This record gives sequence, C-alpha cells and structure tokens, in this order.
Amino acid sequence: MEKTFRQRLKWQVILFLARRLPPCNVLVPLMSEARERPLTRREKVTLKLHLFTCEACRRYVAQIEKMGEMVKPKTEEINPTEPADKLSEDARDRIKAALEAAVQKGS
Amino acid sequence: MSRDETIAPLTAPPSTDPLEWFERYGDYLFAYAWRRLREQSAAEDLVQETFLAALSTGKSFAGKSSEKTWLTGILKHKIYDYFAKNSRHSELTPEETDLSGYNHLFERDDEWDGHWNAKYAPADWDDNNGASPLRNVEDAEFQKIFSNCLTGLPERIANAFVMREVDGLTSAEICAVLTISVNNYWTMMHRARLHLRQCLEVNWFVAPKGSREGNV
Repeated sequence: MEKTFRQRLKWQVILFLARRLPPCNVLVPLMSEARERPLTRREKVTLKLHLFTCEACRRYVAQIEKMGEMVKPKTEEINPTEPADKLSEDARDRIKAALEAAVQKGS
Repeated sequence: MSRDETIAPLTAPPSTDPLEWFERYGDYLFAYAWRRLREQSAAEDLVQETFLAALSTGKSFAGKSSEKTWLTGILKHKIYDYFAKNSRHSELTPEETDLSGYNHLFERDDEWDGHWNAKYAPADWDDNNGASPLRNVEDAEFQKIFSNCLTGLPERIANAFVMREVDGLTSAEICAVLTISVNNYWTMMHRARLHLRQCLEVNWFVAPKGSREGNV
C-alpha cells in the first residue's frame, strides 16, 4: 500500500518537474556538450532534474558515451581482413612505382 | 633479395628501405587512413605521401616495431592536414547548421511536444534479443556500418567526430585543425551524435534482427 503511494508521489514529482523544465529537444544539445566542457551549475541542475524525469534522455546520455567507446580503436593493430581494408593491386603498383622513382632520384 | 646467399652487409642498402616499409606496413596504414577518411583514393594518396615523407628523412629500415608507430605518426599528420585543407571557412555552412532533418524526433501530438517521439526515442541497446552486438565491435561489419553512418553527415562534421571520438583529440586541437570556433564545434558534435546514435541503433543494434516495428 505504502509502495503504491510512493510510486504515485514520485510520478507526481516527475510530472511537476517535467512541465517546468525545458523539453528534451532543448536539453539534448547540452547532453553532448557535457562531454566537451564543464557545465555551469545551473545547467547541471537542470540536466539532472530532467534526466530524473526522462528515461529516453537517460538512454541518450548512456548511448552517446557507449558510442564513443565503440568507435575508439581497441588496439593499435588493425587486421586488414576485408578486401576493402587492403590496398588494391592498382594502388600497390602505383605507390611502389612512385617510391622507386623517388629512390632513383635520391641516389 | 635473399641475404643468406651473400655475406649480409651490416646495414641494409638504403635504397630498399621504402619498399620494405611499404611491404610491411602498406596495408596497415591504408586501413588506418581509410577508416578515418572513408574515401579510397584519398586514403591511397596519403599512404603514398607518408612513405615518400619517410623516405625523405633518410632513415633506414631496421625492422623495429617503433617504425610502425613512426609511420603512423606521419600519416596521422597528413590526415589532419587533409581535414584542414577541406575546411576552408570558419563559419558553418547552411547545410551544416540545418537541423530540420531531426525535428521529427521530437514532434508529438500531445502536450509533450518537444520531448522524444516514442517512435524515435532511444531504444534499449542491451535488450537485443540476445544478439549482444557489443561483443563484435571490432568486426569489419561494424566498421562498414559506422563508416556509412558517418557518410550521412556533412564531411566536416564527420571529420570532427572522427578526431574527437576515434582519435581522442581535444576540442582545442580540433578547432585548430578545422579553424572553427568552439561554439561551432559544439554544434557539430551535437549533430554528429544525434545522427550517429540513431543510425547505429537502426543499422547495428536493431536492424540485423529484423525491422524496428514494435520495438519501442
């Protein structure tokens, strides 16, 4: 019984806050900027309160962070397995020829 | 080329150096450049320039792994030079600032207009019918999708994102390469993240397992 009362109270607080805070489309740019610069105290509070009310934005914040981890090279080693990752025969010949020409000129 | 047949000289003849470097690191450097430029001929050109620059230093091939780091460093500078050359104005173009293509993400018919439209709201990436895509992040398949998603952005914005999240440059360094203000940089990063998050969700996290319908 008490639990449902609490849940209802929480929901009322969320609605109260959500109606008074700027909407998602205004705050989403700030979620990106939080990764680029220290936010002001006011921005931090606004963002925190909004995130308390909004699951979609909580996911957005988590996902742009995860995206950063995903695209970061995990190791120095790239294994060129895909043909698209390797130099084409044409490019290989061209670069070799250019290097040989440069060596000739140098020596 | 077999050195066993003759008495090996103390140092390899300098003239073979660039070719040995090329044989050993050519594909690696190409893959490195291709992932950052998304353009084959530009990547090939920069790889060639890298070996020519290495040759002009007069250093000799020694077969050490530090040479790979050294060559990668040269290539890295060439990539940022290339980004700089393709960033002529410090102001953002109308095409770059135009966020109208994303308005529908936040359009709603109810009193909550401006909040995420449920159809486009971020989905739960961890709940993917057990497909757990993060496991295969290093896959060539992921690189291809990520690369395609980047191509959907104006080029400078994609380049800024690559420098920021792939290479880990600071905002000051990126602003210097692109000669843009920090405010413009923030605008670019916001757009990149909004676009890429959605593109990866549709094409990487959800699409391989079927359509997005009924997922939200």
